[in-house]
Amino acid sequence: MKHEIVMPKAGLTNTEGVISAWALENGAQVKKGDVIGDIENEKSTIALTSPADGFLANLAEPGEEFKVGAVIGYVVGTSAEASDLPQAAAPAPSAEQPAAPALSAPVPVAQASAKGARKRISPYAKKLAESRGVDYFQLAGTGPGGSVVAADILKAIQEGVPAPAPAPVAAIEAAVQGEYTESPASAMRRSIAKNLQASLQNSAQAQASAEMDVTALLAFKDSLKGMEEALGNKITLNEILSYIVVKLAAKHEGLNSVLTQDGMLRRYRHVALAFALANEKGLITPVVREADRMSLNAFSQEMKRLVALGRDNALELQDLQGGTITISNLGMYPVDGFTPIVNPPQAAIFGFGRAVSKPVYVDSRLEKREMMHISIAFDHRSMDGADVGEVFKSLKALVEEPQLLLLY
Amino acid sequence: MAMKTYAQAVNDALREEMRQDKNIVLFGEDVAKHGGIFQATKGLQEEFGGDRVKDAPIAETAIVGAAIGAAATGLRPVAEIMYGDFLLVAYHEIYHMMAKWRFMHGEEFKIPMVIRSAQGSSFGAACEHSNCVEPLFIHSPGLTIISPSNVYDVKGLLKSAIRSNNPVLFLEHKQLYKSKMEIPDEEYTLPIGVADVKRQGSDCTVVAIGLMVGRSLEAAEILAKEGIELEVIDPRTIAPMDYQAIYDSVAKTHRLVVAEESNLTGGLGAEISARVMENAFFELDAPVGRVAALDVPIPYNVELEIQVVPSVEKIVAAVKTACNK
Repeated sequence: MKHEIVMPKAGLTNTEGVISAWALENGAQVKKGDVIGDIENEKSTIALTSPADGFLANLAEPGEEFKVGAVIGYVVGTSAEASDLPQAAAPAPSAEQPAAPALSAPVPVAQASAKGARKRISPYAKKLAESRGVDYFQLAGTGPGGSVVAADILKAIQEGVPAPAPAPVAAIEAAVQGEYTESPASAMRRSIAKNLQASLQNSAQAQASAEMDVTALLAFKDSLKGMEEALGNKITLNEILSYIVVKLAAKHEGLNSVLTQDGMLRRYRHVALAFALANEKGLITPVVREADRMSLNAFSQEMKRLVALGRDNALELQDLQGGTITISNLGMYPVDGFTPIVNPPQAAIFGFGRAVSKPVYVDSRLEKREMMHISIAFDHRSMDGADVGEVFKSLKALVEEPQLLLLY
Repeated sequence: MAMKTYAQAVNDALREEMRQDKNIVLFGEDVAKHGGIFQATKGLQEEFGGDRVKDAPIAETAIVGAAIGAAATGLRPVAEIMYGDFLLVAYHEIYHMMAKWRFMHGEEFKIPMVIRSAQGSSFGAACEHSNCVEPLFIHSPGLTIISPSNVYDVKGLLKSAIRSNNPVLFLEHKQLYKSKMEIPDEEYTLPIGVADVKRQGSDCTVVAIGLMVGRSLEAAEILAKEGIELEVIDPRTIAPMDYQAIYDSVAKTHRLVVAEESNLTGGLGAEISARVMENAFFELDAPVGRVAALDVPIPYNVELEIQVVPSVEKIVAAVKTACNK
């Protein structure tokens, strides 16, 4: 009896993942659901669980990138079967090959080239080699017992020893010339790059923006002061702005839609609000599900939960999947306005700048008002300019008269 | 500035503090009339009288016990146990009562006391009079342990120890009492729990304790001629130790040697290297080196003693090994 362990799908657009580490070795006995390793995908590190009871066999090399669905190991019925299986398949020549029944083609990343081999190297030298993209397997160590020490890495950099062999970017040989340094980008970084570029290439993005008067909105936020105990929560401006987007998406169905590849317009029944969150590894977009069913207070608390987990890199896969619209807020920085890139396959993303005090004509009087640039990037394939105009009409109403949030 | 010996600096620190706080009392074997075996308490009975500076019987348990009782009831005793080795006669009093009674008794009182003691090798004093005892006491949470390595440090640290409301084991080194140094005339204190970088260097860190600080600085001069720049860190306070200073230095030099006069097994080097492994593993370019007294009773024969207690040459050799030279 043989069960395949496959690279899990991590999100709507996820296509590859990297095995960060196996928690167990070939031959280890496991039960279905046991954690057997970690997978790093575009958004986070997730635990990989065993698909069956049995023994682990033929586990693929950690550090390699595999297509979603690719077989990365097996669970077999007896330990004897484990030793009968051939050892891990060699990486296939092309990353474009479809997932085969055997181990599919890993996309090589700049890592140690000698698979499974051991090399004596000091901890600091290893850190140095990895940060500078030096393949220490190719170096002759001068430390005790032929181990590689920091001096060997520094010498290699100075003398221009090539970076790791199967490098994804052709330019790496120039990495050691002294003008700049190069190191392999994380799986998350490469995934962000690929998704955002694909977003611009595969959709028809257009933008709109307006400077809106958020004086009343800020006053609304301030009016919640002193109510923290009653609410069990302190509601922030970012949460109110996000909640406004939830209400807009619930009202304007174009915002909460996807144009599928076969030309169907898919409208989601509920709003799942994704929000851009920077953490140490890069950019993630946690999702508040069925946000349209939540009160502002419940929504705010759910956002806080996701932010806390996201900062610690502790989000579950389901917290990162299934967003139907996204917001990005740079209001904590000195940024007035910006146009974000649509998070595919969604139809729209809102961008919020900072609130700034400005003199504004109200009727014919000059008044000090709090102003904020709000922008939208949207997929023109599923929405037109007039649709966005209607969205902004609702947006303006909600921003200027936030009590409408109760009525929408 | 004034040129002082280590013993005079101890004497000055005691005198200055006793003038400022009449709750400070002093007792121990031969500390009063004789002025202490190293003359560190000379003249104090004359100035402060027999009530505040007393000779004690040869009974270490009684000396420490009396100090704990006095501290618990409001005085600030500075007890002297002549040799560090004799602290073990009062081990139970120190390990349990002095260190832990605040906790045992729910902080009903504090134990603001100091035990001063002279420790270390001193030219043939043999194995019951030559040990460095820090490792025997770092295992008792609650104690502050201070091992000053020079004249300036001993004065500033002793004043801070006396002012501390925590029980302090203050370990002076026998070979340092006659060492001299110019120190400020003005009053100063030094912080407890803060390491001191005695020499800056880029190639290897030596964490050195007590007498080994001076030997490491000598080793640094020899190594500098060979192009190896040593960073010498003196923790000064052994408990609580300033580990961050050690991690920071290792992050700079990527190599570490610990030099101490206690025996190798279960010594400070064992603890420090374990901490560095836990907290700065990826900064290490070489295994941590340990220079310590050999695991034998310290010999009476001076020539053999020299072989057992860490020397400048042994520190130089350990650093070269760490530096792969």
